[in-house]
Amino acid sequence: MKVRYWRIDYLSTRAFPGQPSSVVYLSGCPFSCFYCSGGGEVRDAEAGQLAERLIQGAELVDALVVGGCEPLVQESAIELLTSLAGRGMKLKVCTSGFVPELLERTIELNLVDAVELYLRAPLETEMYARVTGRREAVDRVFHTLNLLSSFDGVLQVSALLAPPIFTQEYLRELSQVLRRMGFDRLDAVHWWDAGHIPATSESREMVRTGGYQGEVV
Amino acid sequence: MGEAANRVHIVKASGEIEVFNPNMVTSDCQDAGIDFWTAVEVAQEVSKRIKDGASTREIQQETLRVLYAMNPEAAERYKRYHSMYVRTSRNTIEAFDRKKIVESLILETSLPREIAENIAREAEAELRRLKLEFISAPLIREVVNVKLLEHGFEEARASYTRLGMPVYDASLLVEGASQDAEEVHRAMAANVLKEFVLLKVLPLSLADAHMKGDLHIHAIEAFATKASSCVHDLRYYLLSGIRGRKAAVPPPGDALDALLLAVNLLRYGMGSFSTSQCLDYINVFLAPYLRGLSDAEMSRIARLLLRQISQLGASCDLWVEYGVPRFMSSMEAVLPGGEMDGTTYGEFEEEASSFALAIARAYASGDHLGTPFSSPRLCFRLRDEHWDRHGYSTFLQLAHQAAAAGAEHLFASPRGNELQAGTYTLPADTAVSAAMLQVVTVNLPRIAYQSGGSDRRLFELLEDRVRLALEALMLKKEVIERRVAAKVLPLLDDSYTSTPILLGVGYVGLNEMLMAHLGAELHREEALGFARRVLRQMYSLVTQEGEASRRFVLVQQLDENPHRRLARLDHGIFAHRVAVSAERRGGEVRYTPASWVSEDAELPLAKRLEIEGEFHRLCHGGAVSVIPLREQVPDPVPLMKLSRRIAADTQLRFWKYIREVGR
Repeated sequence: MKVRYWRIDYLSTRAFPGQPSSVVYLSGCPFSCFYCSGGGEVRDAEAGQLAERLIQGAELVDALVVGGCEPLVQESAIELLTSLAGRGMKLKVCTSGFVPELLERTIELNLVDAVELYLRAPLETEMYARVTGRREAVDRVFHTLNLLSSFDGVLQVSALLAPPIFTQEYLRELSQVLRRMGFDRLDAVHWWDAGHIPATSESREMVRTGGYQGEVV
Repeated sequence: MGEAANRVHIVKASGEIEVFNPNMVTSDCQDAGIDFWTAVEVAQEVSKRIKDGASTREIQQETLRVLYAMNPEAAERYKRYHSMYVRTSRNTIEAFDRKKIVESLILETSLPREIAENIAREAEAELRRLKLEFISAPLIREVVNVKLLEHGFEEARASYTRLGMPVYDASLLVEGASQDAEEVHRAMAANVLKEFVLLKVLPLSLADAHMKGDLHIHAIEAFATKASSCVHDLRYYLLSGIRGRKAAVPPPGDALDALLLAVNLLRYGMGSFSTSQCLDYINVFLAPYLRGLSDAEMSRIARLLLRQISQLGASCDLWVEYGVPRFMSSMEAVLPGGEMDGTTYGEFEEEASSFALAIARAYASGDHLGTPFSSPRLCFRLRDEHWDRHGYSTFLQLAHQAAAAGAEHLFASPRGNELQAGTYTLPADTAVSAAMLQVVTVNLPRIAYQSGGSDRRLFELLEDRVRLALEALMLKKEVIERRVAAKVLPLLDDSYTSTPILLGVGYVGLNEMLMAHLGAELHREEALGFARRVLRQMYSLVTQEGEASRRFVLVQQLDENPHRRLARLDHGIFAHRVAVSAERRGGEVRYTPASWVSEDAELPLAKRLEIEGEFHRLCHGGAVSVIPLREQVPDPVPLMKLSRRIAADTQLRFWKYIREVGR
């Protein structure tokens, strides 16, 4: 099965917690977030071949990450993850939470050591739909959060740290929602910055001083 | 002439005082076209009128008054002739005098008097034609130079011309907001010295090769004055102190003394080395001075060391490694007061480790405002033998914490039994110091453009260029040896015969050479084999010269960005070919440095480092690979793990991390 991808970064110090890693960015995100500039030219490869390429290129790293805005929108992502699993490398998948069915399969098959969930907006239907362009998005994200509450690997949640998305209320609500969902064992809240909509120093300071776990990257 | 006149002294425009000679008046009148007898008569009259202490200008005015009384037409002629004044380079204003051109031509060039007089006459005619009241000394030189060139005296012109810079460039320097006064002074001086080297020190073939871009002579402004860089053996100075020209520094008695000696050593060295200086094994050699100090005191010494060096305004490397390397543990240590009693460095293992940790911690904290140090650069040597030592992980983590935050730390891993002194690789049984006298970099892509696809021609041209680089290095060696004999190079004067001396041939754009010649980049299998041939040929040509203590070596020199200058020059000549091979970033054409793999190659890191590491092996004068980090805030822990993997699993000798956010 073919996998469509944008690029491979052979070195990342952030993609997998605590390990040098390589990242492949898969294309096909169902969202059209207003702040996202897309990933560039799309290429394709057989899942098995791409997996071999990643494994062979990973001599100096300890982990592989299958990323992109939503890699699991491609069925072939499971084949890629299956080919990468059990090869002596730690493995992580990133998700926007839009495809809980494939994430569930990934977890059932015990393919990955870590999952990272990218949250796009406050977890409220109207706002999530306005940011992502998909009305059903927030329900799917909640479904994903439910799934992840029983995942026993490394779990990361990333949230956008940029105006106008980021507010004090957003921070408070997100924190409450995550605690309610049982994410007291969350490894890191991974606040990110959309590049062309940079985080303000105030928003960074709020995270730093608000007693929230995680770090601003 | 009368006796009274002989006793009159006159004050010249330059401020010099001399006895008045009436023949000067006669000569001035004759120069203006006045007949001999009238001139003599005027001189006699002027002699009677002038008073002791008169200026040359007053004498001319008096001469004019006398002439008006005697012959108004002659007076007018005299006035016209002597109304051209020169603003001299001595900051005086003097009447124009052709004889001064003649004398300066004879003094500064090898021209005979007859030709000098002819050139001066023609230059004077040209200047008078301009009808200027004031002319400058540089203008006179420019006109004289034109006359020299018109007569085919090119060599004389090169000797007679002035050195300097256009007013526009000087204005940019002086008014540039980013330049402090010292930098302006240095930049202007460097400009003059560079022209001097190109005109007078280098033979035309080498000067042309540099200017046209066949070669790049690094730090060319210092070619006639200083060596390039040095790794000092601190033990020598801890034992004997520093014999400065004005004051001597005795062997240090305690940690603070030793620290100040190290800083003073670098300060003295600035007079001898143009590019950089390095203190290797600093934590090992200072360890005997740290015995008995508390952690707090050791931290203070580390902070002081960094702060003092950061104030020097010179490029300095400090090399630290965690503890005493095994090969050094049985070496006799220099102790406080310059004593040696058989104690070895191995007995100071604890102090050496603690001080390495203190230096890494002090650097990670930045200066007293928390600002990262831009100098010195810290360099960390990773050895297998360190891995199990208590505290090594903390040491490495501190190093990578600063690297992740943007510090340009250098990391190194010696291979086999090779000895590293700074970034130089030396034979195992030599000293831990060395001086690089000069580096000359060869422009590889140009060779490919000029060889027209022929392998034979490419290797012929490669040999020619390497030999040209070696010729420049031989010349530099002679220059330095003359200066060492004249004792004008502090530090190098005393140690020249005992220090390993290196002369480096660098190279730039191996990747673009391969693209132009084979149509494939370095990381392609079909190009890699050819790249090996090129580098082996260079290595063989370079290393067959010299002797054990005076070695010619290959080097990957990155200072001054030769990859930009040479690409720009090539673009002017071979635009259609450079366009396809050089990387264009941010609107500029540049070559890939040395034998680096192109940044754009989508290649696993291990493969990239394997290719680059293979060429590190040949570059005993230094080779550094750069690993870009494309995250806003890289995580130091994975970075540390990566460095350990690089040390264990690759052939890379030296590497550093740079942050390239947004790529």
